[in-house]
Amino acid sequence: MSKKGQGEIIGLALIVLILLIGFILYISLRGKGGITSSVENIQYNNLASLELSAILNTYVDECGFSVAILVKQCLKGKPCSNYEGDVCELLKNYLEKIFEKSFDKWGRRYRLYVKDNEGKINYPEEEKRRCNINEDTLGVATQAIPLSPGTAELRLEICG
Amino acid sequence: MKNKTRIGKKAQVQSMQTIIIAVFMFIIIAVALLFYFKVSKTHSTKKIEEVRVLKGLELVNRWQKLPELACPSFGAELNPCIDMEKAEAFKNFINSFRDAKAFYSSLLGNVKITINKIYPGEEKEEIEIFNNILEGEDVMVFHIPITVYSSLENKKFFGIISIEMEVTSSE
Repeated sequence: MSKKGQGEIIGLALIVLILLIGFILYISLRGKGGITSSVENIQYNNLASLELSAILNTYVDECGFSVAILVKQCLKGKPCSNYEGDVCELLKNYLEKIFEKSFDKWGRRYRLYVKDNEGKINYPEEEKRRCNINEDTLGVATQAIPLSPGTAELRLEICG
Repeated sequence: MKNKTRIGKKAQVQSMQTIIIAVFMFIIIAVALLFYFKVSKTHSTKKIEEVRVLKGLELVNRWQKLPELACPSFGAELNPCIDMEKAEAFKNFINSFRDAKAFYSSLLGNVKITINKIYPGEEKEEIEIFNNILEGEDVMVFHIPITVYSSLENKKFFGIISIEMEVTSSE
């Protein structure tokens, strides 16, 4: 009878233990998603949008117009009148300088590219700074670039 | 007599077993409760952090839309932009008039705002336009990309607005 009693108490202890482990797992998994991901999404979308618009508004000393127009010239393969070098290389230099002092400095990984045409603009080149293809995107900003004819979509993604 | 002794010892052993199991269950429950409170605290801390981040974003939106700092738009809605010359004048205004600082503090809280002109240009230009943070206070820092306009040069630069916000004032 003593052994039977012991067995019953041990069984009860095991059931309590299993229930507690289940409860702990439930509590720890409950916090995923919901307001946390909404706030983060707003934060990162906002950041991407601010970064992209600030980049595109930046004046290009060598050409006398903004980065937005430089992007268009690069995509259309056109030069800028005051600059003899490759406009896509010039664009890359500007992006390098700007991202070095913003996203790279803050430890953010990102990708700036033209949707459906990733040949000419696909920045950065280094893998450690760039979003991987299968990686979750935390925030996105897009900007339409009129090419006349047609339009290109410039995308800035933040990931992590 | 011997039987009584045997029964007594047997009862003691059974009691000890029950006590040990009860103690064991108590320890498990205590560990589980500790873990639960730790996870709850982490969630609460995270929610407080989210509220602060949202407040930080709200502050950035307010600051860059102030007419005292905003770039000229000529009727068109421009992307977020701060005029450097206006920012310099604003800084001098705040430093010259105590009431002005009090007014903006009541409007925008205990913050420190710095505008940095980043690129193009070899040298970084920085203006601290407002500082109402008490020394020694814990702060949260936000760095937000922004267009910085120079009316003298008639050019737009890539800039960063840095906002330091007192942690206690956000709750």
